[in-house]
Amino acid sequence: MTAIRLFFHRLASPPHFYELSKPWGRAFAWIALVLILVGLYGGLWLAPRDFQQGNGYRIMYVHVPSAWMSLFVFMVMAASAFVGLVWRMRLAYAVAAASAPLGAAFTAVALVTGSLWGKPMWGTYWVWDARLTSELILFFLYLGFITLNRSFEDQQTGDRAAAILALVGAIDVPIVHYSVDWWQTLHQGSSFKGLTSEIAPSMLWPLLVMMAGFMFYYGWLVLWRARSEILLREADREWTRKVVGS
Amino acid sequence: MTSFHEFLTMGRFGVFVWPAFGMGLFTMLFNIYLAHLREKSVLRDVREVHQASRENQS
Repeated sequence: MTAIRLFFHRLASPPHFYELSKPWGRAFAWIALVLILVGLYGGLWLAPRDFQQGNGYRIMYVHVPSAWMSLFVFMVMAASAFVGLVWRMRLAYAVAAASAPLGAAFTAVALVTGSLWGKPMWGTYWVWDARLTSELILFFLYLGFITLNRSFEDQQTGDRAAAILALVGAIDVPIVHYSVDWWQTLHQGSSFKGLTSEIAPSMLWPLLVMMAGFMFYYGWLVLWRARSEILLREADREWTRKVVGS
Repeated sequence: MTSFHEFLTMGRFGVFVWPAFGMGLFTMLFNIYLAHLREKSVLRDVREVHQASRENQS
């Protein structure tokens, strides 16, 4: 227990995080690349055609991981915001700031790929149903976070303001997730019930591999971006002189 | 997938499937480019802060 606490205590130290994050990031990048290539091969070639949706269902191999990551990243941001506000940890603010553009990108991909799937299946690119609308609101929350975070001359003020938005905005995450259960929506219900799924195993495994690949991709980029964000917030500290060589 | 032709056309869904994957790939690569740009801009900013602090001291 003491070893775990010591590990996290050291990880929260910006110079230690800066040093550790580079090799971790590289490892995550390679794992992500392998998983995404395997997932693409499985999803686009090996998985059988759906008897109702034909090959159109293959859009889910990019849509579902993106949509899932859009929720996951916002929860990471909200948790980081909480840690930042309560313990005033600069690293937590850096992680939240690093996550926001990535989460916005995942949400945009989820919205656009969902529309591309909706046109042949529903006959329209967009409907104002609960799932689509709450996901669009999530996208605006990401944009709001990014804007607020960069709107103040003093970075600490921007971090705190954006953190409050992340905490309040986190209410949208369960709304997005449960919208298909709470309301009658055109969007199909969840294919996952706990650890079980209604999807055939031959179609499911590439989806799970893609989801894992997206997770490692996010892990890689959030570490990379957090390194920059922490450097910016610690610019007045001595250790950054050695790092940037000035 | 039964043939390369089916793979390319995705049955009749190619016009929807390929743009979806194309957008996904573009966004992932663009995110990498943005992270690189951010790193470069932050390093420049931090060096400027250090430079200014050295000038103030001397």
